[in-house]
Amino acid sequence: MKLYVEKFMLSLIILFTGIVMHIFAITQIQEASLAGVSPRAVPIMVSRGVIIMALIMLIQAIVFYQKERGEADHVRSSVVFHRFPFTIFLLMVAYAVVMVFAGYFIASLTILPLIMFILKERNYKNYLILLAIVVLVYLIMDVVLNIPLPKIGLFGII
Amino acid sequence: MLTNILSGFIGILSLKVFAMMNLGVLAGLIFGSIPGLTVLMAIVLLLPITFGMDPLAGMILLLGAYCAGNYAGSITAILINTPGTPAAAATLIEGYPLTKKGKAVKALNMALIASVIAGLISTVVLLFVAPIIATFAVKFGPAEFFALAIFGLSIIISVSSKNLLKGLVSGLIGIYISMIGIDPIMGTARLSFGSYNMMSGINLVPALVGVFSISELMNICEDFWKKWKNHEDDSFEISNAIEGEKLTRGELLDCMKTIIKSSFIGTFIGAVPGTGAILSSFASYNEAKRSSKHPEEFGHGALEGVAATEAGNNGITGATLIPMMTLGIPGDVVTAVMMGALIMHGLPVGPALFSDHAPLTYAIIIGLFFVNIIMFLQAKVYIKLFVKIRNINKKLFVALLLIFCAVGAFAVNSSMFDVFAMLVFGIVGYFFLKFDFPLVPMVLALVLGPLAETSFRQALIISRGSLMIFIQKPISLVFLLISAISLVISVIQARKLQNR
Repeated sequence: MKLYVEKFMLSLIILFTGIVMHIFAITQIQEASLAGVSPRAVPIMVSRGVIIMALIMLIQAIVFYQKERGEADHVRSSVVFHRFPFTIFLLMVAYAVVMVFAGYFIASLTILPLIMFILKERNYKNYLILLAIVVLVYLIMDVVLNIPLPKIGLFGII
Repeated sequence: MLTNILSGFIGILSLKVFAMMNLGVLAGLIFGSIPGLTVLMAIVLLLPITFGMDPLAGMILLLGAYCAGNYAGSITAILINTPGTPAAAATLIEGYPLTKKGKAVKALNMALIASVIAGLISTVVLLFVAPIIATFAVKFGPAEFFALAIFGLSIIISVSSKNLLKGLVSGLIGIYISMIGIDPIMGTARLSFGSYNMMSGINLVPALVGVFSISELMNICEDFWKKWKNHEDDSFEISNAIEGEKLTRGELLDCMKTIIKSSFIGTFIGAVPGTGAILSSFASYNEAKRSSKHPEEFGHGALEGVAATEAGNNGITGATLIPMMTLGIPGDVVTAVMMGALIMHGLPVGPALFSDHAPLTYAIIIGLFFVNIIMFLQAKVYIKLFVKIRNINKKLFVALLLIFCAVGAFAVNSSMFDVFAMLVFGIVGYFFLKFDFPLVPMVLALVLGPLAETSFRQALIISRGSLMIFIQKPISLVFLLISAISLVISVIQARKLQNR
């Protein structure tokens, strides 16, 4: 991606975010007023602030393009996205979802080894360490600190 | 007073008190250093144990956990970019880059020494000038709190020196997210989309863990991908300086001025009820950066930054006890629980504590001195063990960090909503990092946004809508002026740095 394209895109994304924030501030907060300041006031002020910042960034992007005309076409953005971190992120989401439906143990003993396997971990000892820590965390949280981790109904323990 | 101090000193000279001190410090170190486990949790869990003890041993146990817990948040912040406590979020700005440079031991030792010095200074203030500070602290009303919050938010400019606009956007988004939940004045739901989970607002711990740790996990995975692509060895590179470089006397002396200054900032802010360690650590960081001879090093691993944040953070430990012990007003939730412990032991809080139970009160304060010393000794050993974290297999580390992040976020409210919130913050944090948006302004705004908004609206209700209230109140005016000056200086400094 070219740098000026990145700058344009970024300012447009922020502008869009600001507009969405503004719409939410109006639609998701009831209007009521005490001493002239309603619960909407600050969220609206903030969303306007984001819109203003986005517009300034857009102007900056235009100025950059004008100034570096010709050269701007050759300046490339340093931002590169790879698919792999997003795959891992999806597995993190899967970990949370499985935890909801199948409990902490099953989630930790399926998704986490899968993540390690995808990360090309082939030493079985590290899988055993993971198992030990999963059990240890359960014991500390559930038994010692009395913070019950998500479970399914099976014997009430997993 | 001298007699009371001496009797207090004699009072703590017991094996039981020292045992409790050690136990409290150990509990604080463990709870503070694990993200999701809070100092408050440690205090609440230790509270029932204190019932069977004499008040002094019980209070020392709780104070040990409080002081050590406040410090220990910095350990994981420095080593794995995950703040153990919300206040340690300021420490990771400089601490984690130092670890990346292989100077983890240096950063950890600096954090420890700064925390101990700040704790001792705070205790001296508690011992000698508590009543004077307490009278000043209770003068804080909504207008003053608003000005203080604005002062805190002005730090956003300072931490966004690389790109002011991006810093401001990050801060504004943080404020907006902090508005989610029940409106503190009118009691109506805001931005909750009808979800009960959203009505209780976004908790700070999942937000912090997501923004810093999940995004870091994604970065680590990206590094793996790059290494595989380039056919490089993907095994973990043990940082050679982790075991090597130690903090030198010269480095410590260079930072001493910052440590002392930050300790006093922490003590002052901590004495004001309802402010807390996050504000003091960020304010100290801002001041350290402003007055530093090398401001360009900040953000890239400046030891001075670690010293400032940790001194600011632990400077509050004695100070939060000032309004509690002298006036019966707890400075934060943790001191409220400690106040409960005092009451359960049949002790009065407020001025009567000093007049009717002077030997015990002074023994508790003297005990706080020793707590800091014990903390120093225990943490030295603890750090050595903790540093080994960086040496474990990096692929296993990813899985383990994910467990701790998820369990830590879950533990706050025993709610899976917080785990999902953490993941959302994680992906936002990852995009922010990719596009060079600073994360700290968002975190700072998440913390200070509610304080600023609530006190702003409360002040306007008091003044019937007149903004003059912020200028008419002297303390508020002073803070607003300091904020304005700090803003101008930060902008000039940022310009200078950009030009360089």
